[in-house]
Amino acid sequence: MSTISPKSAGLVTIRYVVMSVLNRLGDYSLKNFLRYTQIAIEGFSESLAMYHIGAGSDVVYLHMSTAKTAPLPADYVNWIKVGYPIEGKLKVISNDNNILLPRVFDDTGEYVGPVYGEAIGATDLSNIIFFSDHWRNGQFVGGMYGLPGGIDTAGFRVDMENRQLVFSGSTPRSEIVLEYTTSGLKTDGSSLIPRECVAALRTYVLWMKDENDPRIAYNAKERLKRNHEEEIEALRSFSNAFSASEYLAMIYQSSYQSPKR
Amino acid sequence: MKKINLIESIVSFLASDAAGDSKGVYHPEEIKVHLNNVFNKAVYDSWLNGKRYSDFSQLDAWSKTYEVAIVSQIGTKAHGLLPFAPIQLPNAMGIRQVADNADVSNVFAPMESTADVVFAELEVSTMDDTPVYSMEQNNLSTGAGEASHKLKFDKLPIAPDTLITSVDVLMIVPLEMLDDYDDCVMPSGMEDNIIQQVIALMSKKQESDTSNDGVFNPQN
Repeated sequence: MSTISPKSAGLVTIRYVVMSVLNRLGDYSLKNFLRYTQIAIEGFSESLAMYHIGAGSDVVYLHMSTAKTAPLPADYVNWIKVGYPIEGKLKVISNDNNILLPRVFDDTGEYVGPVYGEAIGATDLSNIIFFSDHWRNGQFVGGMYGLPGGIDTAGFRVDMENRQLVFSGSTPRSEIVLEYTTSGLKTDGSSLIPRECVAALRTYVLWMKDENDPRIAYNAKERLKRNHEEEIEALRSFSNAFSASEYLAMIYQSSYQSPKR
Repeated sequence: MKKINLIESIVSFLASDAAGDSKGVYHPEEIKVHLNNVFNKAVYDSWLNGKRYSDFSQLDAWSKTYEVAIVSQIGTKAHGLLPFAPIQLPNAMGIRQVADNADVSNVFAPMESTADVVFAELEVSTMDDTPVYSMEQNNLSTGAGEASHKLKFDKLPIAPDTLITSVDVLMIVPLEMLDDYDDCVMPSGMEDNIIQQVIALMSKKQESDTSNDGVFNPQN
């Protein structure tokens, strides 16, 4: 039983991977430790977590402001799903790139604030022109034609300049669920990485430590790159593997029981 | 073999008829100077050999641990004074390892003196908490008998964590730091090699300049 006699840990640290690399190299000192650690961090957060495994995805519950915006998390890279919770399920809403990004300018065209609702000096208020959709302070403002299109009654757009989500249309609640791609590593270094990533990360460090060294022959670099790509393929196969029960579920979902005729 | 044995071997050879025209009585201090130089070259060759085969265990027999007190800690930064100038080897291998005196498994990571500006911008500075050190000449106390080099530390634990008050510095010991009656441990066969090199250095006659080109160059 694994709980009584545990096997080696299924999650390891970045430090473990770097020590594994040093062991492969027969380098029993920390002379290159900082360099290899940084390469390993970049390999996980910029390559493995983002493109090859699902470990880099995260979920956050955001509160939509009265201006129908929600701030993006600091580690946000790209969105996977945006929606709101309904009876324990996620009701996704559509990405609509025609939603107007809210900005506040005065009548001279001078930019005075990033979003509607932000504190603005009282003397400036008379000159302000607001750009927003049909909802202001949570109230529907009529007199405009048309609603933003899409398959859903609500839409969102990512405002990267102000690092926020902008919503349009109607959502039944202000609680927004954002599933997003992250860098995959916590800034305090407490992150653990899955064991299946170790081989790919190790080959990444071994490749990158030589990639910019002009003394290393081109074919040697190519070989290191190929080693890494093989490990990436193995990792992707592992991560995306179809379990037997999933396969059977897929087969049986098209089978129906009916009276024998 | 003790250091005095090496010196006496050379002195007795040079005093014998085997020394030929170089026969004479030489002061041991003069021999020590040559011995130190040859020793440093032998250390470098061992390092080079270790680099070639990724096996630095050959340097272990020349290495010794010195306890260095950590002083003037402000925040996570502090410094410590080395007992002597380390042997200058590539990759700062004159200092083999720096570890917490109270916990030798807590090994510090070396860093080039100018690398801080780079690593400070990268995630490794926040995601990894391994203490780091860099080495430079001592600018705090200079003069005869003062420590010539110091270690600068960073990312040291701060209260309420347990502070590190001293570190174990594993250094390659230069021959000049050994007392005459200290054991001078060398890789097998190296003693004879060093003795012969010093003798060759002290008894070698300069080759004559056979070319009448007006330029003094014995190799002509």
